[in-house]
This record gives sequence, C-alpha cells and structure tokens, in this order.
Amino acid sequence: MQKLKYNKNYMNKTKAIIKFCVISLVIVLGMVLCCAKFTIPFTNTNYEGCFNAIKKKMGIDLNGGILAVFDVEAAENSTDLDTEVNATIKRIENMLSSKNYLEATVTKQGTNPNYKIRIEVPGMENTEDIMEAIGKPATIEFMEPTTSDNSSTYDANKIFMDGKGLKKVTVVADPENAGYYALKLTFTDEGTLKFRNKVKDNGGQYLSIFSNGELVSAAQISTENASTLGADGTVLITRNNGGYTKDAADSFALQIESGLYSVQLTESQLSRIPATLGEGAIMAGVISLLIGLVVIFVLMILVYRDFGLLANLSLLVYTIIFVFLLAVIDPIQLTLPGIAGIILSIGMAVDANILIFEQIKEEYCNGKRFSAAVHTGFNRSLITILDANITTIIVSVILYLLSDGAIKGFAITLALGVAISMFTGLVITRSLAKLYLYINPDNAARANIKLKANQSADGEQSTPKKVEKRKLNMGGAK
Amino acid sequence: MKWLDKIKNSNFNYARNGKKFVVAPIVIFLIGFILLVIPGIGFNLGLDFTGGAIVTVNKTETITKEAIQTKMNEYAVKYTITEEQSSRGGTTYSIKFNANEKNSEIINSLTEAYSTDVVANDNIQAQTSQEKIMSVFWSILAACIGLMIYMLFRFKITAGITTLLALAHDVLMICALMIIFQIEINISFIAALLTVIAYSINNSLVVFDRVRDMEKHNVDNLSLEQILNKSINRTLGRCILTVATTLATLITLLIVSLVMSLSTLIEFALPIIIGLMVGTYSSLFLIAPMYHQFESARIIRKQRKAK
Repeated sequence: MQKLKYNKNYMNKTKAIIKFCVISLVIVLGMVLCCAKFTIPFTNTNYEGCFNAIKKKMGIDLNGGILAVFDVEAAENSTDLDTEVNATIKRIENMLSSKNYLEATVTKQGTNPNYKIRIEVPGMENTEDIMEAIGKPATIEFMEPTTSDNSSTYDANKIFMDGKGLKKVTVVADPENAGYYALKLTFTDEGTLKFRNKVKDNGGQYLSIFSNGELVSAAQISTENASTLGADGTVLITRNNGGYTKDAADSFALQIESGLYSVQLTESQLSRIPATLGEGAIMAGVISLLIGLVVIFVLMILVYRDFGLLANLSLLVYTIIFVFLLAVIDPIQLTLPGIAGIILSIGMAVDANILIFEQIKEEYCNGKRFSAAVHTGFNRSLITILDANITTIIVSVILYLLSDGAIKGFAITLALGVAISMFTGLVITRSLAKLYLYINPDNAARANIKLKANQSADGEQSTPKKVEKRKLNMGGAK
Repeated sequence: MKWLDKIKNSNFNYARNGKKFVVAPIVIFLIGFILLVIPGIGFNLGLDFTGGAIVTVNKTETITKEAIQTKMNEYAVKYTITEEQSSRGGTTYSIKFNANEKNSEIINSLTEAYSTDVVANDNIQAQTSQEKIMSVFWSILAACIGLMIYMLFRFKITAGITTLLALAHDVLMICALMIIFQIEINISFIAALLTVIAYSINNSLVVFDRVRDMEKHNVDNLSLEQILNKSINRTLGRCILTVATTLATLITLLIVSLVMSLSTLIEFALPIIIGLMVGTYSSLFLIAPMYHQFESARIIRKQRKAK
C-alpha cells in the first residue's frame, strides 16, 4: 500500500480552502472570457469572445452559407457529358476542400444534356467569394514548337494540345530560383504522348504555352533535353524575370486548374441561404447542451457529493478549454456531426471522473484508508481511462484521414474533446482531489462512500480485521 | 443512491445467461431483415439519399412559407422548404421533394399554381452518392482494423473479437430498429451511427480493462465466469451513470427539437438515443457470455495442444 505524508505546516485546511476559492475564481473568469466581448485596454484590438468566433465557423446546416447553381454547357468536342460533369464536380470539390471549405457539397441536378451543378458552401459570407474559390477559368494551350520569331504569336492552327491533356497543376519551389515558385503541370497519359511527340525531334525550337490567348511561356528546347523533356509526364513552367511569387503561382495554378473543367459553367443562381437545419437549430443545440450539463452537475453531486463537486469543477474547466479551442483551431467547422462529437466527448469527460470515483470506492471497500484509496484509485483507473480514450482517438484519427466533409467534422471534435477530457480527468480532477484531501483527509462519507453492514457486492477481501483497522483510523481523525 | 447499490448487489450471472439475452436481438434483427426484404418497406430514406426534385419560387405576398406548406401537404410527399436571399435581391423559397414517378406531375402542378414566380425547377441528385456512402463504410472498416490492432497489443485477441462483435450487434440493431419504426434516414444518420460506434467501443473497453486487471491479480483463484460477473457488476454503476448523463443531453435535444419541430435534429437525436440503449444492452448482457465462450474454447484448444 502506498504511504502518504501530509506536511501539515506546508498546507493546512484554511490554505486549501483559499486555494479552492482561487481556482473557482479562475474558472469563473474563464467562463466570462468565453462569453464577453470588449476592447482590450490600452490597445485598439477588439476581443470578440469565443461564441462569436465559433458562430462564424458553423456549417451550412447551422448557420447558412452560399448557394450557387451553374448551368452546364458541353464543350464543342464533348463525347460523354455524364463523365465530364462528374469530373467537373470532383474537381470543384477538390478545389473547395483545398481552400478549407471542407463541408461544401457539390451535386448534379437536371438530366442529360441539361445538367446544372449545385454548390453549397457553408460558412461563406459573400456571394463573390465562391467565384474566388472555384476560380475564374483560364484556358491553357500548347503550341507546336516553332522558331524564336514566331513563338510569341498565338496561332490557333498550331495548337496541338489544350487543358484536356493535363491531369493537374501544382505549385512547387522553383529549382533554379531560390525563394520563388514554379508551376508543375502533370499530363494525362495521352497528354504525355502528345507532348513527347512534338518535343522529341525539335531540339533548338521554341515551345510556347498560352493562357487565354496570351503568352505564358516560350522556352527553347535545348537539344540535349529534347529526348527526355516531359518523359515523366510532367513539365515545369518558370518565369524568367525574377520568377513567380507564391501568391502569383497559386492564383495562376488556380486559373489553369479551373480552366480544366471539362465543361463550361455559367452562373444561373447565386444566393445566400439560411441554416438548412431550420432557424432554431443553434438555439436547440445550445439549450440541450446547457440542460445536459446541469443534469450532469446535479447527478454527480447526488451520487458522489463532495467528489461530485470536484468533478463539476473539472468539467467546467473542460468546457472552457473546449470552447476556446473550438474558437481558435482553424480547420474546425461546426456542423451537426461536429455537435455529435461534442455531446459524445462530454459524456466521455464525465465517464473519466466516474471511473476514477468508482475505483476509489472499490479501494476503500477493500480496506484502504480514505486518502490512500483516493491515490490508488487515481493510479489504477489511469490505465482504463488511457485505453478507452486512446482507442477513441485512434478511431477518430483514422476517420479524419480517410473520410471527407461532415465525417471529418465529427472526427476532429471527438478527438479534441477526448484529448481535453483526458487532461481534465487525469490532471485537473486529480490535483483537485489532492487538494480536497487537505480539507477532508478521512471522512469517506462526504464523498458518499459507505461500507455496508453486509460489505459486499463482491463479498470477498473485506476481512473483519481490515474493517476494524479502518474504524480505528476514522476514530483517530475525530 | 441506494437503487444503484441494489442493482450492483444482485448476484446475477451475466456470463451464463447469454442464451436468454441473445433472443431479443435475434428477434429484432429478423423482423428488421424481413421488413427490409419486403418490397416497399425497407429503410425510410430521406431526400439526402433518394434525391428528387426542386422547385424554386419567389416570395410574394401570397406565396409564403405557410402557403407552400399547405400546398405541399396536398401531395402527401416528403418535402423541405428553405428560404434563400438571392444576390440579385429578393427572397426565394426552394422546395425539395421526392415522389418518384410523380415528380414531374408535382413540378407541373406547382409551376401552374405559381406561374411567373417560379424561378427554376429541376431534378436533383441525391446528396449522398453510392460512392460517398462506400467511402464512409471503408473508413469505418479501417477504423475497426486500427482498433483491432491496438487491442491485440493491449488485450487478448478474444477480447478484440468480442468488442468487434458487440459493435456489429449495435450497428445492426440500430439499422433494424430504424426500419421497424420507419424513422427517416438522412445524412445526420451517419453522424449518429459514428457516435454509437465510438460509444460502443468505449463501453466494451472499460469492461475488458476490468477483466484484464482481475485476471492479472487473481489471488482468490476465481473462475473466468466469476471474474466476468464481477467485472460487469463493478462497471455497472459507471455504465448506468454515463448513459444517464449522455442521455440527459440527447433527450433534451429531442424534446427541444420536437417543440421547435426541427425534423433534422429529431432524425439525429433519435438514432443516437436508440444506439446508446442498444450499446448498453450489449455491453451488459452480450459481452460477458461471448467472451466466456471464446476464452473457454481457446483454453480447451490450448490444453489439447499441450497434450
């Protein structure tokens, strides 16, 4: 059995009570900071409060967003409109999620050949933003190798390949120009073949790339490179005078990328929509979370009395940290699945405390002194809490990595909540309980832990000897 | 809380009563399965899954949300109405509904009724394509494999298998109950399902942690059966309290959304509430007998090998 020493000089009951008061004050301050909204003194910075920040991050289901519908017009040489529309939808989805609009939904409506693409982007404020996110399309065209003089003049007859030959466009560091960026074009298999055919016998000639009819790059194919250029299916576009800045490269890449849509899109509807869950949804969520918390508080006090109070303090700390992190961490977007994650993790936060208290109860019933039972209780429940929470975190990390949109929201809030609950359960509740032992070192009844005359759900281990020993201890305290 | 102690003191043999407790899940599963197979019943899929049609109309003095609702109720179809602020000014309503073959009929009828105020009408694709559902399925499967690997390191393999079986039980039960009660399934159901999965895993782990602890420190030379019964007894209080606290939030959510008639939130809270109960059932009554069976079989096989 663990032996514990209490240095009475260092810490006494009054000091411990004062400490509790200070902790409670800090918690109240934290709660105020969550809700308050003020200008930070001596500066011009406004502190907006967490709830405002969180509200901005709510998804289309809770807070509305932007709805855009585009008419689809098949390209001239279109062969299979269905596949092309699907490819475009996929591309738009990717572009939106790369811009952190993780919860955006892109769906097809209408029938062949009158398709429309419907895009719903939660959390977006202005209707103009959507055009910025999915790009103002630019075309990209490759012109046959020619002499230096002709290379900068656009000649529609000499174009041998357009955006269809490209799989994707990425921004990479410029290998020759430190600090600047280049565009890396990745060809499709067919595109690679076309490109190779034009380039391999034309060393010394100039290859030009046009975007929207304007010259982007005209570079001489060096004789020794002609045989290998583009053989790996990629080619770099760099800029001679100074190179691309990151911003310039990004926006150019976006332009080309949106030019790769296999179909033409024209805006047909663009509007701001209110919460799809209905207007009271946030209200309903907040009300039920609050009532839920109150029920938890009451239940914990009823079942564990003083320990219930400790658990409630630590649960308040949990709530404050959670609210702050929800407001601060950027990729979190709060939607219904996210709320599910929060509800579940609150449950798990309470669970950690319950596991600890049940273990303490058991240790006490097995004959330990109250203070010793508290310590062993924490130590032994540590493993259970770790196992239960680590598995939950593993599951949510895998879900986060493999899924998209709404499920990501669930995974991230759950993982976050469980991580915080481990901290509050194992660190905060524990230190509070240690502090509590200075106030009440041996009266287990105040934590609603009693021995029954017929000691036993489980019957064993409570030999009369041990019971007697405990009685002695308690007597000593009085 | 005296009643809590009372339950804990009942010396119920969880490990030996498996057969009794398997009956209810099997009956529910069979009813669910039969209803699934009968054409025309099955899952009550909402617009998110089925797709349907959409009609957008301008808001005017006569065309109000209430007016549209009255009109839509005549057709006896599932529908949703959302209000939109157009960037070109003015407010529009989007009415989404699904009546399968009758879609075009309703579109025509609405177009006739609202004539010039109809902005657009179209068919819409389901928000959740087959592909997306499959991707959710695969990620859940991957998560289960991850869980299994962790459990192999920390527990016996039989505990891992039991956890997965209990998980499968919980998921199947919710699906069956969703069919039996014909609760509408929309995207929020996926969130509910994930919640129940996480909860189910958590529940099993707490029990097995206790079993592992007792197997390690088995001074009194207890049998597996006694260990299991004791483990369940000791986690019982925790189990009931945790369920009660989580249910408190969910039931409030359900009541608030019923009062405010937020159908999406009802569709969200209901499956989780069902799932919590089903999950509690499996962790109390199914885990112990399953683990008992698997472990005894494993021990017998081990003994045979030794001979």
